[in-house]
Amino acid sequence: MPDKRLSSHAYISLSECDQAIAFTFNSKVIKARSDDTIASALHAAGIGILSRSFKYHRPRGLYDGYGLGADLLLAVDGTPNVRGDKTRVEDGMDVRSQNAWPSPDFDAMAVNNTLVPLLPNGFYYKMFHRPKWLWPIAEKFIRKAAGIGAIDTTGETVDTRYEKRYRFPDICVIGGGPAGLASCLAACQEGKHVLLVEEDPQLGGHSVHTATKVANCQDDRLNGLSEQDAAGAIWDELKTYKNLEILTSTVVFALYEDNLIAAQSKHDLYKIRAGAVILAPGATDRHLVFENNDIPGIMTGRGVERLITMHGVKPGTRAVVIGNHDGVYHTAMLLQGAGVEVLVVADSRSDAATTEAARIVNENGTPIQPLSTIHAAKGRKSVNGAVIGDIAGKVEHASYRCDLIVIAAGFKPQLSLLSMGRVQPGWDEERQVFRVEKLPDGLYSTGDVHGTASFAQLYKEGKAVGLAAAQGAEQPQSVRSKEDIIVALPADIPAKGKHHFICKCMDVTRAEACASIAEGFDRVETLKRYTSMGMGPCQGKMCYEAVARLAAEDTGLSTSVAVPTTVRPPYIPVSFGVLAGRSQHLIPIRRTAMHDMHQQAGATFLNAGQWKRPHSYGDVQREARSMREGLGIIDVSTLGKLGISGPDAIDFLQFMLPGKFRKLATGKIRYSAMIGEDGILFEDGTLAHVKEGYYYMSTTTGNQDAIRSLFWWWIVTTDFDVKIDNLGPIFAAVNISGKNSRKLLEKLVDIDMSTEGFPYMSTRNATINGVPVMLFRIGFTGELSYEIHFPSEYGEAMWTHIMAEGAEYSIKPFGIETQRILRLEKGHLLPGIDTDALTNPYEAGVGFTIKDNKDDFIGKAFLKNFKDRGIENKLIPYKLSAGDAIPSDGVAILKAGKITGRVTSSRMSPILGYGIGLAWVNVDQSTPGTKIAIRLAGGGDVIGEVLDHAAYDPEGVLLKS
Amino acid sequence: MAKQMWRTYDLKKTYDIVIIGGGAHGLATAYYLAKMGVKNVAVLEARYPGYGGSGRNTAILRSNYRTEEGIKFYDQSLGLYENLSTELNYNLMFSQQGHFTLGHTESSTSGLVTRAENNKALGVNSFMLTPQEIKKKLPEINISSHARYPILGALYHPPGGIIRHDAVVWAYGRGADKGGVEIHNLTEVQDILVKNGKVEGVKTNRGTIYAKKVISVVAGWSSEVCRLAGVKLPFVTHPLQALVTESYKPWLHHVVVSSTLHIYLSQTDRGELVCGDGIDGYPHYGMRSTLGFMEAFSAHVLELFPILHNVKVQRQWAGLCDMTPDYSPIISPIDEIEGFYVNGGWGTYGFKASPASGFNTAKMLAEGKVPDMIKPFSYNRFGENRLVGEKAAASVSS
Amino acid sequence: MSFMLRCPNCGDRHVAEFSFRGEYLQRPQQEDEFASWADYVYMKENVQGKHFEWWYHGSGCQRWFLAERDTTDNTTQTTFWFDDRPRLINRESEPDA
Repeated sequence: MPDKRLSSHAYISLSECDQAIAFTFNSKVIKARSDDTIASALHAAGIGILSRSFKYHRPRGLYDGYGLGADLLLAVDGTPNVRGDKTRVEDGMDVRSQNAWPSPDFDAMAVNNTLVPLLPNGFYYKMFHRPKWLWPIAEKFIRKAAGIGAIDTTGETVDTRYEKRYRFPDICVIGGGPAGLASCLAACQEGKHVLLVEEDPQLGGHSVHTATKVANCQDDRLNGLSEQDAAGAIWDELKTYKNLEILTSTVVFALYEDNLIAAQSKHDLYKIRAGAVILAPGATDRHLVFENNDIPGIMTGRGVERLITMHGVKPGTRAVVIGNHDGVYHTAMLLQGAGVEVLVVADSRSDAATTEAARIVNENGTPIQPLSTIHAAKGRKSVNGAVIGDIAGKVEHASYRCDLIVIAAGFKPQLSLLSMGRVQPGWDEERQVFRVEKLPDGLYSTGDVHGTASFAQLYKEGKAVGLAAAQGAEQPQSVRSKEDIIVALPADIPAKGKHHFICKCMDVTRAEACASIAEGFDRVETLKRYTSMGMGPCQGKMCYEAVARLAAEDTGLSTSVAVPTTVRPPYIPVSFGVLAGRSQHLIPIRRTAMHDMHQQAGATFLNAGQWKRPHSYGDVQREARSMREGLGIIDVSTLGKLGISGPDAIDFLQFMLPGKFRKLATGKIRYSAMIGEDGILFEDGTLAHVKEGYYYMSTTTGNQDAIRSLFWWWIVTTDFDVKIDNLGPIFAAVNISGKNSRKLLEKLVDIDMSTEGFPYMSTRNATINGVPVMLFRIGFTGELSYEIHFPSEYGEAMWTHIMAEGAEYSIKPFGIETQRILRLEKGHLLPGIDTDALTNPYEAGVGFTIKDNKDDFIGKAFLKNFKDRGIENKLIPYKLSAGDAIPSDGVAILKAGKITGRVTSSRMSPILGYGIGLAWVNVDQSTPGTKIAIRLAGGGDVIGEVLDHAAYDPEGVLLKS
Repeated sequence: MAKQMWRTYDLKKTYDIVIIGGGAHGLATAYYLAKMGVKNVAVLEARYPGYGGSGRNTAILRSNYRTEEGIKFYDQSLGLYENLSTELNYNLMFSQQGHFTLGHTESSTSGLVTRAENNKALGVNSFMLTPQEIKKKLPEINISSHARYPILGALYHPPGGIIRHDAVVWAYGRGADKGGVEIHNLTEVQDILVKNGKVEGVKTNRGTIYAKKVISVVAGWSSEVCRLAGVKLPFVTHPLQALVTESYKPWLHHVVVSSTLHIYLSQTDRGELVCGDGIDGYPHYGMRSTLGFMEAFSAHVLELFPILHNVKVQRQWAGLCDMTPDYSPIISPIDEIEGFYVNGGWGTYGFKASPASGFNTAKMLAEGKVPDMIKPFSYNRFGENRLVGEKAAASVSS
Repeated sequence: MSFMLRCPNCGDRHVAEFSFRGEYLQRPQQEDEFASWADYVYMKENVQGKHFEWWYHGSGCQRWFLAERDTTDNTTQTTFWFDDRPRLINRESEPDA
């Protein structure tokens, strides 16, 4: 292959870059410059076909050099779907083509394109569904062929470090072209903190690859400079402002409510909340639709400009240039200067060649053909000819043999981000573009996004908008002179042929769109959904204008109705890794003050909401037995703990809870259900009257935040004079259970621990090893047991002390799983495990906590309704026979083959030697002694017997001993 | 020249039945009405068919609900879906690839076991898998016990899958049109005319039309539409967000749902991963996307599938969900207004119900009495404190 | 979840710091019929437009406040404490919650 790298240019000095690097493309070594994109390096190496299209596997090559069309997706170092014309090459990069076999040059799948005519519109909706069995088979083949890049499904380790970064500028300017730079300057001069975000590695926007010079600029220093140098001069000035931060190679991919901007810079996600936002995203090459408009060798004006000026690559040898504005002659000059033979400039205007540049192009030997445009490109794998004719597509003027067709048909505003500002763009007939005139407050826009203009005009407008944003003023109206306006060519040159691709990403042709409209998909939205136009990798950035204009033409809708559809974020595809950031999981992990002690003791942990709690310390059955037979300890720090006091504390509790607590003496504890206004049982806990007028309530682990906020809401909305102390995080707690627990406590504290002195369901204050503690004699485990609450900071010290003192009674820690067995032996329910979002408290067996003959309280009306209705289902304890299999939690209860209930908790009881559990059953199965059939998950039944009492120590003798 | 999917008409003065809403449910209702011989029907759509939830959902179908009411209803729906491509002569691309609901906590896993048993008893194919069995079917999934919320098991549902949602809307629309129903686009209902406790018709931007029966089938917008008739609903409209990745070679051949992680994903025949999350935490009608959704989804999906770290999101969007207190719909006459009906409250699970919803709604309208299948979904159940038990199932139900 | 909400205590904060807790409703009197209670518990205005609603600043000062928010675009006219409602909520009768 001949090297297409330029050594010199007749009109411009080429950028210097001699750093030679090498990468591989499908295992072939390619030499490149460090400022190359993958696509420019491949083009320089004479590789024209970079990828194959989505549906028909048509060959695709470099088009706009900007990645807008996004059909040059490649696998780079194992990462699929990397944009070849957006990505800089790196030394040693492994680049591979996708969706082509064996290679993009000889793609076996191209039979889709060559042997079969183009698929009719809505093809898949009309095929393979009759007879019914056909589709599953057809689908297998379709899935085999589907998809673009391949995910590496073997790589499990992620060594990329993703980071999230935050910025809060007064003003965020998006886009570092002439207008963006000027607005930055104005905002900086006003002393604002400004953040400039630019997608490209360099600032200057399109000025870095134009051959034009600045004239008539209000800032006289810039006049006479090349646009690139002028941009450089502004940048130099900006560097002097300390209140400006510039992020280059950073893509703003979304704009959300209240000026939240999301941007990506390599592996970092920037979250920017700006006081004001100035959108200066510029404009991009217009996409022209004509016969074979997708084959390699067709490039946009800016595409060839970039190749020549930024990468020093000669785009082709013989070119046909299509245009409709004066800028096309600058492009043609750049081509000529690079040694490209420009065969003709087909200019759609009648008064085509009036500028200096046109004169030079013509003098260089290129004829200028007015009132002409392209009818068709010729060639299969690359362009080998072009047909020129009239604008109406009726009369052919000439055919040329060429390897390059340059489309310089004007520019379309880059509307993506403006559309995310939730203002629908409208067709500006005068300026011949879709644009958004005015954005909501706090959002400004400037530059080519209002129609292209001269550097001087963009500079002037940018400065004014920057000033307005800094002052919080209205956006000044944009102005475009007659000379600035480029009259749009027809969106589709309606010459013959069926390969007029509107959407290159999804391979949708004009004919397919027309047929779809005829079927009734005659709104831009439905047409898009039906044909998939604009739904591919570029998300319509290339084709939005053509889609809307053609829809207007073909549906008969007016241009005011047929507008581009709402652009959805992200503007460029963003990886899950970048979006996720460093955190593996957004839910925090909470650990108790004794966590490390559990870890040392060999605990395995389970998730209780956000908390990590010991599941067990090895053998659950042994833990359960050893507690029952001697002494056990469990960390219960994760309980919710509220201190309730104030003049109306008792009235408040009477209102919040279903029971009556006025007679709860100091030092006493009572169990309470918690009921919602809807009468549903959602929580339970204990209420202790710890000292006169001060109540201490403990609730379950998972609900503690919700209950705390709920209590506060009621305090806010009622007249109760109450104070709530959130003691959940303040106090750690352990429960000491087993028949030796009293003996241990007697060692630890110096208060009366006798049955009479400290009876069941009462509370005492004491000190342990100098630490003040609250003792609660309660018994979830059904054994003689004490809960000790104490300041969290003593967590480890307390645990160590108790373990040391308890050693003589062989104290053993036990985990949640063990506790679940113990409480099941006592038939205690656990909210959220044995209850659900619709649990009737009477049916759950906690009706005894409800005293409805009192004044207004939460849930009173619904509880009455439930009570009047009577019990229909019931939560009952049951036991199995020794030797029965233990059912899984959740299995069904059956009666005569019909499901009548479910097991909510089921465990083997080591102390009893048989299975026990809680289950919801129909009321007619709830009588104690009833046999219930429990369906095992693996099939088969076990028979349970309904109990009317706890399976273990039914009289509570041990508990109260 | 291909035939139009549906014709355009001038509005007539009167219809037997007016259906407000041209989504999957409204058009399915119209289709089944026509099939039952009721043809003087108008579907009034404010925008275009499928503008709302029908075109914004993640197109997951399943029937393995929790309650008998739910299972029977969705099983009927899935059964209708299975034959719908053939019946409507339109390939809806129903891909019955199997559906996983992952359990990461004891209580959620216990709930899944209950669902498995209830489904088995009612003849619906759904059963539990261990983490190792999950790994066999989904080799890329992370079943490590070191995950923030390790996978404890999964409810598997072989007949579940995904479908081409827009195609369902279009095919029902075409079927209804063929049957003689009029579909009116860009026809916005501005008022519902009620006199002496009877519905008389509706006022639209194209004029007033009269009908003895009017039904609101507008999902997320139900509260606003029913307010026109003076009917208050137990709905709260929340956004539900979704995203789609670029196209990749298909590797995921099952629907995967995790309610603990609040995510679900599947891969279409086009190679895109279609992904969703739980509803947004506050009511909103604007259908806005947020960054928070993409961040949370990404963090969570990478916990399940670490291989996806360089897979790119291509588009995000939002739809509306009319959440009910018991995660079950209302398909019901409104006793206070003769001839006025509501079909709504579809929350996050409406699309999969479209055929059964349409069929039973049509039956209710045609026969003037509520079919047994949808009796549990009455409007009056809230006033009677007789809620349906689906709320017990999961916060994310897809 | 992108918009900013003004906590009366903390000022403008990202909405992710807050949790929403329903429309602002009037709690019935205890002697009211069950129907009123069912209505209070289950029925919602669910307005497409401006309405009053409860917010809790859970990841902040942990205080409850009321907001008037437009559900179509999340613009929030006012946020205020419950005690300020007589001044800011223009209703015929005041709830006594």
